[in-house]
Amino acid sequence: MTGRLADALTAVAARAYPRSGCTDARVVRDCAREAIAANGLHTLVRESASLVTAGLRARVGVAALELSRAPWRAALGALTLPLATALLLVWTFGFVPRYDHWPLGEGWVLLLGGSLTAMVGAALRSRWLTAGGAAATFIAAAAPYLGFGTEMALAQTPSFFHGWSVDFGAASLLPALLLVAGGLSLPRGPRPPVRAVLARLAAGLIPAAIAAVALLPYATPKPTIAFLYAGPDSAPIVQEGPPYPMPWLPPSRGLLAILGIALAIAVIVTWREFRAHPERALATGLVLASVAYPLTWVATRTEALNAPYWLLNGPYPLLLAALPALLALALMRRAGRKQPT
Amino acid sequence: MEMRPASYFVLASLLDGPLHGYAISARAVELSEGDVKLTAGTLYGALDRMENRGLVEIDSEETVDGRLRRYYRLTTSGREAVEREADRLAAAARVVQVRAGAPKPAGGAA
Repeated sequence: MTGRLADALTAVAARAYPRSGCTDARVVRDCAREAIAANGLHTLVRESASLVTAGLRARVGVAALELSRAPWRAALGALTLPLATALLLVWTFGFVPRYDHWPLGEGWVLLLGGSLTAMVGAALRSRWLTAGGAAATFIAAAAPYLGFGTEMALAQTPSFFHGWSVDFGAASLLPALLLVAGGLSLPRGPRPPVRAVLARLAAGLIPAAIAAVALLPYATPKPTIAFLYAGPDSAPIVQEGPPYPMPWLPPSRGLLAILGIALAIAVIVTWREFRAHPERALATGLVLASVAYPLTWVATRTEALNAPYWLLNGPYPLLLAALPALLALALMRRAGRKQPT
Repeated sequence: MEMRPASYFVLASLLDGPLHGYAISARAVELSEGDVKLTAGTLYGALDRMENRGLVEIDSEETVDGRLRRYYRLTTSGREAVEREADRLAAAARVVQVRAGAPKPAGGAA
């Protein structure tokens, strides 16, 4: 009975070891079984717990080894064009409803000009053009949160933490930084052939161009709406102000759908083709990790999901963000498993 | 560098020749008079680290009664390390023993 119980519990505990370390797991488990047989059943829990700890430690070691082997530089280089295209698309969606605001203001000039420069840089495989454009986009998107270019108090800044809206400005910060790193990781060398550059330019510009054409007929500057409460029992007074001064995008289901579908396709395709293109799997993992929180925020607020209210607030969105982050980690580990020879 | 008691007794248990995991654990308990009790996971974690540092190496593997045993042996640097640690501990012990054995000055501190 004791032997069977020890065998069963240590067998379960040994499953904490990674598949690649099955011989190690067997050696340690058999050692634990000997110790339990010699010292009695009271050591069963202690030995099993130590087996689990050792297995998890081995898993962390294997994961670290896989990540260290992953083709980081190639992955950062590979994500430049898709990421620059996505950022340009995002800021086109943000700008078009305000196209009659003239002058544009330094914020929009930096956002649109920076993301366009980054996209052109990625098409040309130019390190400094890509990194410079992405850095300008990052600075312009981050500036309002530091109180630059807006008279609104920082506390009133729309962010992930308010209601149902999605703040694309905040969501773009990590991807923009990733694009800076991607630009700096592009290989030095001769410029790619003109045909390739033109194809890449077209691929980068077409989504933004289609979005601009599709959005123009509906472009109406939206005023800032403020609700003023005189007291707990009084009805709110609705005040309309000038259009929102910050580079903030009104939540757009169309944009969310486009970005979500593109990301889902990238995850599925790169997951399946990780042996041939590990750098693409790693690049997708990096992008997914950079948008894990806004992705969770949007997903939990999707009507079809009908998530309970408590799940949408407090620490839960942050905890749930672990799910896409874990998927991103799995993609990155997959990229480290097999390198092209 | 100072060595942890567990590592010291694991290395000391291998001085007489190669041993497998549970035998190392049992010998460490015996040598430390029950002070060092190592579970299987902790023991193999320590052995892995020592192997990476070149203090021990795998000698062989064999299956006994359906159980896979991995035997470890000391390397030259492992033997030197445990002997160095023994010398350090002995020197530290001598400092206390000499002072504890010396006659105390009369009248307390001056």
